[in-house]
Amino acid sequence: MTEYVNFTFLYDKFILHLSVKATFNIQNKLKLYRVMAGNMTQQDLAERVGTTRQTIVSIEKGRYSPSVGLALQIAQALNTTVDELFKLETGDDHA
Amino acid sequence: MNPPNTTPGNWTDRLKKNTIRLGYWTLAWVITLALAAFGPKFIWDYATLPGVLALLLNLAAGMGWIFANKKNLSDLDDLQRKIQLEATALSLSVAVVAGLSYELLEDIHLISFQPQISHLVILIAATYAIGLFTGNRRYQ
Repeated sequence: MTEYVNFTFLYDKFILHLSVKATFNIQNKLKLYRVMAGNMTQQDLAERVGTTRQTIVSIEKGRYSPSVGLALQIAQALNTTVDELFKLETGDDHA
Repeated sequence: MNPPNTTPGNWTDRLKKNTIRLGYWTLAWVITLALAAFGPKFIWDYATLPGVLALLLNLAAGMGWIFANKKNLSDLDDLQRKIQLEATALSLSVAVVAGLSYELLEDIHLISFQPQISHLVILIAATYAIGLFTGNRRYQ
């Protein structure tokens, strides 16, 4: 029998342990509002708010919570409000 | 630290300039460090004045590197700053814990040689690089 160790899984676990986790989760509608703003690409949005595409991708995936300043800039670029774009995830969201 | 100037347009150009500037200061610091370390033996035969001047030059280049690094950090975006902070915290923690344990090894006679600061610098650089890599991977 061949012994198989899932190194990718172990590596991802290792990465997660090394990273500082957020104390709260934030849901966002960034992708929806990008599409509503004329199919704006992640790169376009990143350039408009003066950040990197990596940051936009990370926010959309919920891996990174932006600062108040960046959230306001994103909301402004997408002609909406921060309240519309971001929502604090509560226990009820998982129900 | 000031909030990043996120005016669209020349932001990426500014980041490139900062990186190049940081590279030049790093190079200057390494060269002056080599001069201060090897100059006494190979160039000026341990004379005091050149030694002091080389040390001051190295300190000045080090200060330049610190300010260039601060400028670079100031112009990074939110996420890049977070990645840098996590990598720095990781390397600092490892440096303090491993550095003191390394020193203890000699104190309790478990190693026969004098602990070298260069070993600690290599460890700091390695953990910082791992921190940057894992941070970038986590926030992909």
